[in-house]
Amino acid sequence: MRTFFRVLSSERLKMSKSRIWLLLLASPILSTLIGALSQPPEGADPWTVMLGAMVMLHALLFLPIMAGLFPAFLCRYEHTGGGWKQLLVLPVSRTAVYLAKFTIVAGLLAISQLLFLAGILAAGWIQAFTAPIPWAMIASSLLGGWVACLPLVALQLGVSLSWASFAAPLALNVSLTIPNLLIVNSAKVGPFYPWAQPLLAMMPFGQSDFGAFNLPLESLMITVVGSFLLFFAVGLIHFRRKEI
Amino acid sequence: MNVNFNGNANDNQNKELIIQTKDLTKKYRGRAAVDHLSLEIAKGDIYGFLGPNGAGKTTTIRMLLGLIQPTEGSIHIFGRELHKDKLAILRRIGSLVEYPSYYGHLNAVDNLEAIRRILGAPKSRIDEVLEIVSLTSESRRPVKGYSLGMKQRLGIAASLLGSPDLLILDEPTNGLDPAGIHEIRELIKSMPAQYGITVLVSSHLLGEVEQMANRVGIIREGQMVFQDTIQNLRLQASHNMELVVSEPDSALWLARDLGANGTLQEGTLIFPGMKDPQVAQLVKRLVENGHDIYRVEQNKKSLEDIFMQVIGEGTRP
Repeated sequence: MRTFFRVLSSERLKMSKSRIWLLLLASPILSTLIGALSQPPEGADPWTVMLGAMVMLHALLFLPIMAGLFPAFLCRYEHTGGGWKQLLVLPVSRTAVYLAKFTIVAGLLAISQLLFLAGILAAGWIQAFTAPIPWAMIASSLLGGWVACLPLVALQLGVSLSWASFAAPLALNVSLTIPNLLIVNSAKVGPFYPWAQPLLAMMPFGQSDFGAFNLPLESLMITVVGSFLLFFAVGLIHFRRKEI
Repeated sequence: MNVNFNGNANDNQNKELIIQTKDLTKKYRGRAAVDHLSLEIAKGDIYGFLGPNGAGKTTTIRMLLGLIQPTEGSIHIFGRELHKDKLAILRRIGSLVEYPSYYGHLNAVDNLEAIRRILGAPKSRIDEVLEIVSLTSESRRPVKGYSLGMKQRLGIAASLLGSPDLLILDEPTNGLDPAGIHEIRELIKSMPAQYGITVLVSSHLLGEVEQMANRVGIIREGQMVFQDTIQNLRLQASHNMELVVSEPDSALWLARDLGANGTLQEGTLIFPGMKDPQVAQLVKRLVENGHDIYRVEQNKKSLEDIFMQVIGEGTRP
């Protein structure tokens, strides 16, 4: 456990000097614009309608893509400079390295969700909504979206650890994310497609009434937890056995 | 030339062994990259690990550092089994494998800090190791702008960060200019005396480790073909005593009377394995018998020749 925190602290240092945090800002800024420009109809809860519009871009594309980009970025330092050898000859277990990298990515995505929250509040302030802020709904949307990203992180981390190329994991990730545009509309496939889960989890309940939307969060979590366990275990076992 | 390469390792028996492998083997698709290798490296040694490219040096080193698993055989480091006490053993080893590793976007201090955080070494150690490799003045520049020699020095600084008892350096002078090679060599030479560190240094050039190693292991196609002190290698290497005299034919007969079996090649008398007293006696007798002696020399080149012969033997056509 102590080595885990040591590796974590070392990973944080490597991250801190890179400009990857700029990427975190992209989605919240765009989403805030979408939210500020949305026009909630009379009678409906304006927060729910606005959030429904905002998550389309953020959770359909940005979250899954960031879930693939950050692991690739985090492994890139080791791949380019021959750093795997340097890192793994230190007194660290590979499990600790894997967990530390996973934790960093999960942390970055959590920050992204918090920035998105700031975007929601800013858009609502620009729109001058008078309705009370639905904290519970927003919280479950943000948390659900974050959790739904973790299987993707696990898969992408596993792929990024084993492939020395920076582009290949990204290509894989994007080509699995783009079908989201169609798959979320399918009531059959949507609930089981891991890349669609961030959007399905973040969409406020009752906002969209077609396709895979409006499934209870609990049933989505079966897909999320199941795919997470699978990807995480395969990635970790493969990394532990990898010849460096 | 008939030379016995199975040098004895008796002088090593009373010393504490830092690295000991037994029948260490690594197979890739049935082909052995490292084949029943038995390394013995004693405390305070600078052990030159020699062999041509592709002989299995790096594969062996990767196994010693736990980066890959051996197919067969055992590894003991500091008297403990590697796969049982891996983390505790790795804590006491500093290493540089193949080419230097670095985080290009960080400066030297941050590169070392990233490693220091994992090792839990004191912060002051960073300045110390930068001082040792003379990088202090460049330490605030991003490493991607460094020359290869500076990166190599940073790699060595990183390997020293945890105050190791054993240093494993794989081709540390690869790609360096002569001045850089000299600098690294002097640095490595000072390790056992100044810091009590045992060093394993690999190279494909004998000349490079000859001047710093006290023991050498030579491998070819994954197998150890020579493991002994550098003096013993040198002894075998400097066997040939060459004499140029005025009347070589009769001088050869004279030598045979003394029990020295030589050959005559292009006017030069060659005596393999001739000891100093024999040389003195032969010269004395030649002078007494009215021979003019033009040259008496030891064939210095043949250390490299021996190495070439050792690594060249059995080369597949």
